[in-house]
Amino acid sequence: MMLEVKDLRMYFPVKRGFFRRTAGYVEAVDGVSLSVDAGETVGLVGESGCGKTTVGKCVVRLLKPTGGSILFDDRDIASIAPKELKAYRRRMQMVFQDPFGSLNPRMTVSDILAEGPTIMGEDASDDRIAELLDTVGLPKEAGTRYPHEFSGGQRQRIGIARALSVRPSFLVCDEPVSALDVSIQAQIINLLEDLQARFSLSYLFVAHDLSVVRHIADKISVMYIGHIMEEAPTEELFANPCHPYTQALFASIPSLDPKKRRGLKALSGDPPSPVDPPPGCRFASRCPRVMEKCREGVINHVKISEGHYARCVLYY
Amino acid sequence: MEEVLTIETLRTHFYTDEGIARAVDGVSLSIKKKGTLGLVGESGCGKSMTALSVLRLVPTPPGRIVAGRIRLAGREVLTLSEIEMRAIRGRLASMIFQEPMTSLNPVFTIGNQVVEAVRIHTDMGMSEARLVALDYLEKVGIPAARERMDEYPHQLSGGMKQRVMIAMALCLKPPLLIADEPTTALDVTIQAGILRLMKDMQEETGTAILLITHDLGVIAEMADEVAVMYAGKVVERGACETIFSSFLHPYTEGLFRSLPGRAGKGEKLYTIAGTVPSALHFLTDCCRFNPRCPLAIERCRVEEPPLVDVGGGHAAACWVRAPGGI
Repeated sequence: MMLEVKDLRMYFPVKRGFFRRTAGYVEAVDGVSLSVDAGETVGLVGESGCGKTTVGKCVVRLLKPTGGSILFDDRDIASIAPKELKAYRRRMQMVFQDPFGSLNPRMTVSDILAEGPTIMGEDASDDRIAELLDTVGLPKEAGTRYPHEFSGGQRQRIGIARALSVRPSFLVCDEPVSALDVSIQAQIINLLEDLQARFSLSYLFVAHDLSVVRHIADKISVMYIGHIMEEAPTEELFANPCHPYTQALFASIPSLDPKKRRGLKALSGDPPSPVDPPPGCRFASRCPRVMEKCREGVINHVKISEGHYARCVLYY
Repeated sequence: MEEVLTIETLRTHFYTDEGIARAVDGVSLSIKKKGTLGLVGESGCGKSMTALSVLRLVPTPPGRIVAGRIRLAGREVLTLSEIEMRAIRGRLASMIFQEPMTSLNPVFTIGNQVVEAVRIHTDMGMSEARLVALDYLEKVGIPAARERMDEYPHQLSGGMKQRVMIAMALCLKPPLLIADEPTTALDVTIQAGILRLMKDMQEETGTAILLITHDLGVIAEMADEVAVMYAGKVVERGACETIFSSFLHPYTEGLFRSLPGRAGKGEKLYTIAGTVPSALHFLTDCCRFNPRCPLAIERCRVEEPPLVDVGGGHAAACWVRAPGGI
């Protein structure tokens, strides 16, 4: 097991009033567990605000989690000192969603790509930069130019090259294609798959687009307001979605065949606020199959089949 | 059936320091009464500018509508004065945008903003207009609409704000609603509700919809007819089912085949080589797609293909796939 996240919690304090008193906590991530094997791609899907990006940021330790453990190659990095963290940064990197905001506009592409290796005391020579650019399908001349001279897809390639510059074995890809046009999106997905095969990378692939995740992921975890609602191997999840939230998510994707218009099923109700959320299932306020016992206590994960778990009282 | 909107060879150009950006360069479209036309294409292909041209909302300068005709519910839009235009916006055609967060005014209550839309175009009094506004806010599914009317936009979720925008756009029952990426900023479960609502409201008010999106799933769900734009031109158009089952243009094909849903696990996704050109560099006097096209022949590089009808209202602009009509 390359990465094992156990009971991860990340609470952000909410400050109110003149004295900025802590008035409560946003339970952005509340007891999330997942694991990524070497060479595997795990998809983390959910709607905006469900905490999926926060999980990604905790895993690469851009955030220090409130609780839980993150085992990377059997060592818990959830609370280790920044100094020790440096060694892990070399092995895990992140690709960001926004190819416009995540590259420093004042640095040339070469400088951007050389920064990581220089800090890590690795090879940052011109040859290495040229090799990196070639790996992501950009010409060598790109090195002397600035990020604004590139299109969205090319910038995302630069972002990927930067992540690869320290030769990591694990990448967190946070919505790497959602800001891109369809035709460019396909190029980047293909590139990520090629790189995975070439450098035996493992991915934690955070996204909201189910068709993208279905294509790239080996297994999928579905998140809703800080909780994992269901996890299963990709095809199993699509063939047999068990949690009412997963079912609702699938039912709201428009079909690509105009002859098979299903009349989209919309959920009623609003999601609860992640600030001090109510006990029980967090989907209860919108769930079409909600029962009395959904609103109390802690709902546990139930095993449906091998590797398939759902957090729902229907399967108790 | 009668057309609500007809656009003929519309050209909207932008005069910038770097040169002329031909954002819309000869677009012809039409929408039937109560119909839904889906306008598809990637960012920068001119679909939003086409829509803004209809309401004469193109930022001028640097932009200018340089040629073409736009007929909206019997009016020649391009010959009207700005004052006449103001009476048309909201009354004959209204628009909802991608960002419900930025299209509502943060310092007025939502009730206020819907009431304003009603009062500008009718001679209704305050209390009467408030009733109309309340009626529409209820129709678009705002829970406890009477209380929510006095709330400010920041107190509403993204989906709710888009519902308010729809209420505002439809409260005068305009014959045309222009929806520019109405669900792109929303989550899928919220998107489903908004699409549903747009359909229900269309039934109720009989408005035609010009739906602009890059999401082919949304088009499949909503549109009767589809027009595919590339580099400022319509490259293919036809009935929704025809386009989805028997597209002709290699660009349309590329859009469909590059969707991840179609390839099997571990299979390579189809890609369109290269990138969408910037409007400053749209090619002229040749097929604009030819540098990215796998089928390009010599003729594609020297002569611009016209939009050729291949039967049943299905038309494509391609020398290879639709050389002279079938």
